[in-house]
Amino acid sequence: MKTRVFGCGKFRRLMYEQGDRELSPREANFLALHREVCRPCERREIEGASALDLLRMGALQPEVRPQYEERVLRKLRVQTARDTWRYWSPALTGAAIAGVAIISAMQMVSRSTTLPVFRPSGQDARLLRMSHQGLPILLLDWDVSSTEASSPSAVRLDP
Amino acid sequence: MYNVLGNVAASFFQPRIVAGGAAEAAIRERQWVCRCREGDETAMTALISRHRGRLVRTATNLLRDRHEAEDVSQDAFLKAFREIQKLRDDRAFSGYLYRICVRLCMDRLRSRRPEVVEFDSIQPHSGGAVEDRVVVERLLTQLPAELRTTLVLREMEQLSYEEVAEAMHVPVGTVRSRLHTARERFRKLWIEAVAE
Ligand SMILES: [Zn+2]
Repeated sequence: MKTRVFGCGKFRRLMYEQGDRELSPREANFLALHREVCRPCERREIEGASALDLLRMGALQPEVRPQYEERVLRKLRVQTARDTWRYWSPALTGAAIAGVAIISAMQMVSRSTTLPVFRPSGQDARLLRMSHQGLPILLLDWDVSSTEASSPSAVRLDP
Repeated sequence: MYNVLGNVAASFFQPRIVAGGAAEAAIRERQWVCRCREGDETAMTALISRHRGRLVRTATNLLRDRHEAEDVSQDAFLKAFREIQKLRDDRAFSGYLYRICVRLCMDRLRSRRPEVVEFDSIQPHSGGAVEDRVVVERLLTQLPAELRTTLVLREMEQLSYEEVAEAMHVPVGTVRSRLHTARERFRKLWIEAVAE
């Protein structure tokens, strides 16, 4: 016949806690009494203590390799340099794109000065023939009577 | 008589001298942390020298791999220095650094693949220190990162419940329950290993 013993859960908790703190006399008494009447808990306590002894004996005490500090600082310098580059790279890329855009715009402006400049004055200057190598001839017709003579009133290709 | 009084005086003042030394060290550390914020490498070197031993040891016991442990401990220093602006109280540097190291170790443990461990024949306390370490290593690999870390910090690093709670950034009650579960699992694993 199996006898049921109460308090096994409490015993299992206290059997570990006795290594962490000083148990009250009441708790210590409970452990002693329970140990006497409950063989499985007694065995469990011995097993637990042995397992934890083994665990503590397995602790390692490694030595730090020489120049540890220097290696940390070297890594830190590399990371800081990388961070600085990451921080500034979008700004530098933006500046580079803006630079290219400005240079392109300046080149376009300098080329546009080679195009003919037309200032309408009188009937003779009503029609402008624009031609360029290999391109069809373009005729621009101004209505000089109009007050708004800034743009041609008709544009057509020369047949 | 004179000697007796001398001894009494020495024993009376000794704790004060020790406490004074600790206070002095704490003040010096605060100054180093302050200089670290300005990027002073001499102060960083001083802080590394002061804390490296503890960090490497804890990481080694958690990861059970010396090279990986050294890597992680160095990463902890790097993270601590790079994010030192997050540290509000200069006095808390030691705990802040240790927490980073424990967190990095736990990340490494979580990223590891679970191992299938086979025990050929383990005789309880039959082997020497090396065998014990191998057995411990194998048993620890079977515990989840949280339980393993709690167990190692308490049993190997001898931290109090409060210190474990601070290092793992969890309440003390969680430490207590995790520790109980971890010890029970470790005991069962050990029994199974011995029985095989
Ligand atoms: Zn029982």
